[in-house]
Amino acid sequence: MPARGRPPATRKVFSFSDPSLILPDAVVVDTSFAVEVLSPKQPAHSAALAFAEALAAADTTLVYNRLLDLELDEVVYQLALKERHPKDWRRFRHDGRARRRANRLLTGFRSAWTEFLSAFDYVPYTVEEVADRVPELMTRYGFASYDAVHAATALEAGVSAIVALDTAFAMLPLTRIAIYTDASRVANCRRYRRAATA
Amino acid sequence: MTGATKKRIVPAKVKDAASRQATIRKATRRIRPKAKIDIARSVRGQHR
Repeated sequence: MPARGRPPATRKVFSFSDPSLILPDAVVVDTSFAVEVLSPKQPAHSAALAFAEALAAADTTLVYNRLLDLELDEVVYQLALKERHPKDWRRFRHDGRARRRANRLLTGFRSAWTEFLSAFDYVPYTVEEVADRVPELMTRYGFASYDAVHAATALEAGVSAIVALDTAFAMLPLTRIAIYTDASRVANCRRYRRAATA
Repeated sequence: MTGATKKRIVPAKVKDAASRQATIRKATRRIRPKAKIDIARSVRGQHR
């Protein structure tokens, strides 16, 4: 049965599983999306992969901050720790036994990211280029520094879309940026965005 | 996208849609981690 009444306000938050999506000309890629696409073990991997393929087919330009590379390294190190110590992995941060696996995963992730980028027109930004915008984003919208760097990259590049699996970006006003995220985070992103604009 | 950003575009190495799809799929087959991760919680320390 079709839903009754007005459809919910999108607040410029879109699910990347939505087949009726109009794809942007350019989009900022957050590390959370890169991890989801590159690692088949991630829960939203299939949807993220399909969205990446759609972006490539639509000739969308990817814009990203090189902070992503470093965050990817951290993710990989944590993955190696989690593989070795599934329950209490945080405690084993300095356990040398995970390092060899981390090194192998890190090389794999870096190559995969480079290969992934080769399918797109892309623009890399450095942290230094956007650093001046970061404090304002932190104090105005309550961003953590990592998130603020990616948001600042979008503003610096003049790109009005971001693809992320991190709900924090919903704190940016909808007049500045559209968010593409997985279906399970759409409702929360819209809720945070409504609260931020209230 | 600003004009300055457009000037900095690194062009794709693969141009046609089918090859792009194949490249993306190949990239995602490179790695087989056995664990999964929530980056917002683990790496960025958010708890919501």
